[in-house]
Amino acid sequence: MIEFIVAQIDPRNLSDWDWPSIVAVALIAWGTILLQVGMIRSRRQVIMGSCIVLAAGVIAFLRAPHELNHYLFLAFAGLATAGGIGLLVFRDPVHAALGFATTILSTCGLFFLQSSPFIGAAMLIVYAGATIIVFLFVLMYAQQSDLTYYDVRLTAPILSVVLTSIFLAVLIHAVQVPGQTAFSGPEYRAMSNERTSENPGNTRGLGRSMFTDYLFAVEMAGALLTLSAVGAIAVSLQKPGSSPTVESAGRNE
Amino acid sequence: MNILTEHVLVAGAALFALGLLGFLTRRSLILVFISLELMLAAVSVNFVAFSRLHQNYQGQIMAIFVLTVAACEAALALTLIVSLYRRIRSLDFQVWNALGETSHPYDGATPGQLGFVPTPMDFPRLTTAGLDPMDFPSPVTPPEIANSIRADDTLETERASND
Repeated sequence: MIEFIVAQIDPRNLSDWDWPSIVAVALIAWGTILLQVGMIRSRRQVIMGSCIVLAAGVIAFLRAPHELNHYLFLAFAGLATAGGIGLLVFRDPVHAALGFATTILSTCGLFFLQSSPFIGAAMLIVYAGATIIVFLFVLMYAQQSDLTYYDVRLTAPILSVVLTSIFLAVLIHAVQVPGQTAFSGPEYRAMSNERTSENPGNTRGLGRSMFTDYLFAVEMAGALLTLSAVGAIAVSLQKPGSSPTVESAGRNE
Repeated sequence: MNILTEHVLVAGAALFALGLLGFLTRRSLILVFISLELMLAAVSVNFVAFSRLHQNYQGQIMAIFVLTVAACEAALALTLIVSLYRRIRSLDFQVWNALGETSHPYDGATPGQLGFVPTPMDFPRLTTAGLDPMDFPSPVTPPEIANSIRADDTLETERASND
């Protein structure tokens, strides 16, 4: 039987809470609000928001362990987070898409660090090579003029930031168990199905597992790709005035 | 010492939260879908971390399928964005709030600050049937029509009596 480990935390005892994470998340939220609002209003708010986000980064850096490959991990994770904040903050959609490209490249670095080079390479090719380029093509097609009102205005920024930061604080609290390292015990390993004797970064073993154990899923993924290609072509072949209107229906009668 | 799984999970959670925030706040259709892709990437970070924790291939295979679904979704989403843009020449998704009933207008759909140009849309319209009862509260039948209706009624009764 699988037994989940429940952390022994008394929520009424405030000293049991993970205060550094909560403070870091709150600082990031405050800085994001300042950056989002100040990007069209004042340069001072932008500078202040950047300083607050940097302070939150320093708190997160002090809580993380300090060894060499941790520094590499922290660099990639920090770049990914900075790119994500750039996606939120930049008003020009091309700059926002470049922030997303930064995030994806750093995520590929995280994958390489997590000993899964195939996923990292596939992500690099599919996202950074194809998806972002096509997004930029569509941006160039659809946005030939300067900034428009829907680039500048946001939908309820402060409410969204507050809700999302509460969500993030709860996630971080759920992942970390205070006082012990959560995923280090053998109990978590016991939940997995089977362990390979070889290194899981082995692409050959990954391909063998994918085309034997998950063959049906691979076929379904192929069917999904074909269907989406057919659907995309069918939608894009429609002319803009070809949808039925009352006048055209009356003419046909 | 290796990187702990929980640190990778925290990084994935931060990326997911940023993508969620972008999905909630941005108004351009393209940036909304980019935020969606960011959320998918954050989830695959978590899958790969668990694959490394459990020392097997299941998480990596799940990440590959997430990548496949993300590619399909990007293709369809871009097609839809381009066809929507060709209709109304705008990438604002709040413009499509106009698909609602005209009796319940959405206040947020009229942005006025930066020169909002309402673009014509060719939606199918229903034909108007009858009169609006608020404009014509008591329909008065014109006398000639009323007489003709009465004449028809008398004709009907005569035919019935003859049969």
